[in-house]
Amino acid sequence: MRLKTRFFIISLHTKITILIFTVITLFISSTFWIVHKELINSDRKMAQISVTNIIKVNKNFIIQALLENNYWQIYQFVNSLSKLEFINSVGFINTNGKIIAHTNPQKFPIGSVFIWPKSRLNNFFSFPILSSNIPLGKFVIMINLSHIKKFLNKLRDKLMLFIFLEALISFGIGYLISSNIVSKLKILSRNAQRIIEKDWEHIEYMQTVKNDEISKIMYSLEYMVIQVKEMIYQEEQLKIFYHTVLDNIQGLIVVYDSNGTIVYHNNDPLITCLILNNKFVKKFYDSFIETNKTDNILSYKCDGKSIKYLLIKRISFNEYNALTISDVTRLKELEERQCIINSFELVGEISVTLAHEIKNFLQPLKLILFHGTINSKDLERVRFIIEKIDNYVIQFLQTSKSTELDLARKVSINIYIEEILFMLSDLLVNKEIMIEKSIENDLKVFMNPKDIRLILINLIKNAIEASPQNGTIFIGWRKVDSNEGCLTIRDTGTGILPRLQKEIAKPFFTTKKNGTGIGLHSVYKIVYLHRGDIKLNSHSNKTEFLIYLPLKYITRKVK
Amino acid sequence: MLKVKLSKFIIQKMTFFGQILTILILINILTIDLFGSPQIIFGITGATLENNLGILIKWKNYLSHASGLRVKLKFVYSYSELQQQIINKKIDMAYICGSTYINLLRTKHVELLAIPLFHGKPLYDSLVVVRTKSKFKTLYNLRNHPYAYSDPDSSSGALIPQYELRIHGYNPELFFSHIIYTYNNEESINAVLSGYVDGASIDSIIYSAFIKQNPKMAKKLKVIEYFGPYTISPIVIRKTIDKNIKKKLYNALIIMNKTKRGISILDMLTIDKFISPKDINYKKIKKIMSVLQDIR
Repeated sequence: MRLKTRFFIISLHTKITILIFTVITLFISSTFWIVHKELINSDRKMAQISVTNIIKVNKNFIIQALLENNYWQIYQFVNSLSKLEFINSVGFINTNGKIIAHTNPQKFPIGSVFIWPKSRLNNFFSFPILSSNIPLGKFVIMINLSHIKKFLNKLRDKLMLFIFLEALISFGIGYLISSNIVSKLKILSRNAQRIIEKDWEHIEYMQTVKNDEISKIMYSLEYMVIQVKEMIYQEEQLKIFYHTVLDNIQGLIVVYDSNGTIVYHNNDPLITCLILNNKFVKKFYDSFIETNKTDNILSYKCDGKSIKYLLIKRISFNEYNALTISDVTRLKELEERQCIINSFELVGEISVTLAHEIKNFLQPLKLILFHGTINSKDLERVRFIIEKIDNYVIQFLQTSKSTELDLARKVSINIYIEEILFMLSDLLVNKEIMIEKSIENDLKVFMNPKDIRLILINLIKNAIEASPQNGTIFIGWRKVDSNEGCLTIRDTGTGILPRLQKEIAKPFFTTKKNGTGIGLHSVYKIVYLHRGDIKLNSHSNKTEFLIYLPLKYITRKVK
Repeated sequence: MLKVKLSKFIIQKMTFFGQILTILILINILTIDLFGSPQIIFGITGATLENNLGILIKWKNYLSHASGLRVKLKFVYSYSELQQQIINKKIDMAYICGSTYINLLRTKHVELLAIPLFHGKPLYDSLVVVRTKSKFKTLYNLRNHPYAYSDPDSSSGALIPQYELRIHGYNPELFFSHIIYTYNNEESINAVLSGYVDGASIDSIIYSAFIKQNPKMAKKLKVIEYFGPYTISPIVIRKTIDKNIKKKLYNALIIMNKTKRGISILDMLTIDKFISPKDINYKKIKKIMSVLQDIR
């Protein structure tokens, strides 16, 4: 393992302890080393200074004794000076170099000439005594350097012991400091783990008030924990609320991840046929989830027997998807029944209308035929009436035909728009109507061209007829989503009264004098048969038809 | 009524005067106590006993107690200074050497108070002391060697050995290589022991006391000369001191050997007792002084 890696493995506690210990010990050791070295080099100087100071302090006494020739006092002084441990011997010599007093009278008797010893000259120094700048003699002092060295060595040994004790103490101090820091970091670490585990009860809080950096971090973390705890509590309450709401919503709500694993559902009874072992049933998964549809009405055999109609909507968020699945089987049944009812009603209405129109034509015919004599004019009129009746019946029959969905294909709607505009150009010119277009040329509609023409001709013609002089007709074609596009026909006419807007889809309903009432009905029929939609926005100065048409193949033939 | 008033007045006045009288008496007593016993300054030099401070204090306290006087010690550096202070009446009584007594006698400032007895006699010697291991056998062997005297005016510590040298035809000032004055008998002994000097003149009483207190030193020293006997150092008192005081001090000294306390002090001083100075003379010392003076 590399040294660097090994270093990082060592705990912070140990690192701080070692760091403090090393710094303090190094500092003290180096200080000691420098001081000791200085002292060792200054031993002679130290001794010299000490002795010199003692002599200086007693200078007046010495001068008096010298002036009084009181050699005994000089001897007593010299003797007491020699009691200093670092002094070997002391003597006083007069200006002639003769000894006045010496602590070693055997070697340096009084009156003899003082000879500086050649060896150990380094251990000797002299200190002159002057009175009014007149020399009276000098002290000759032999220093015991070995004594000083011995003293310094003792000092060194004591200092070494001190350094050893200091090292222990600094280690202790380092340990205490690092323990203090690391204990707080451990608390931080434990608290972080407890936050992750949401173990709020065991979060440790600071008991004492301190102002250091780690304490500030801890205070901030404690505050954050309290805030987070509150937020999580609020979110959990909200989650419980949402779950309660979802649980009480009719319909199945499922959230699943990218692997298809269910992460949430609201226990709707639908789970019995859609979810097994926390995963979607394979049949359902293949039919809906796999296809990645966003919404659909799916017919699904739940128990293998009965078909359920499920309205499914999908919402995606990151790697999760949510489905809302509503059982619309009943609604579907109701819709179908309503369709049947509507168809019955419609048939009734159409029959009534047709019968009424035919009756209108039959009335004069009856008059003609049951009048008595029939002339050529009457024959002409009978022929006309029969043609009219025939026309109505033919149109009625035509409206009942289903559209040819098999001929649907992707075609460009713009071509047919241009075709119809050309066909109706006279009407446009007469009324001086402006055409505005917004066509996505690349967007193709999936329809039978015949149906496209029928839609366009009926709507554009109605728009021209409704538009005022110098009016404007807008024709638009845009993509709504991947499945459908929107054809917009808008005029600036007087609009369609609201009470009439519901009737315009019915066959034979018309407000025109010579209208058949079949045109818009056909448009509605074609659009709905293609599973599209028509929206009508009509106001006093505008009528807008929004026709939603398929862009893709329709999966089911409509009966 | 009048009688009553009068008697009350008298009583009041008597009480008042009584109080005044009490105060006066008390003041007198106090003043007597405050200034009470006369003070006696007892002068000592190093040549006599300075090193034995403890003994001196005990002696002083004994004298105070025995005499009923306030005795105060005063240390003086030299005999000449002591002499001057006696003349100047700054010292009342002193333990001096014979030569100093002779000098003071000339000026009639002092009289003898008491004389110590040493080994039963009022006599002592001037010793010449050298180191045991030294080669010296007589004073004359110390020629051209460093020598220590105590006080220049001390009989035993300087004048007697000088006299001896003189009468043997030597110039005392040139005989030795170096002369030092220690002004203290014990310091002279130390000078010899340390080797600073080769010989010293010591008072025999002091030497005896020193040996008694430092028996190990006896092996390191030897006496090579005994000059004497000479009349011992006396205790003198100024003539002008009150007779009663003199008597009290004299009695205190005389009875020292009769009290337990006095005996212990005498023992430490190596003195047998004190006697009357009657029949004591210092003729020999006087002669020495005149010889040395003539030569000077």
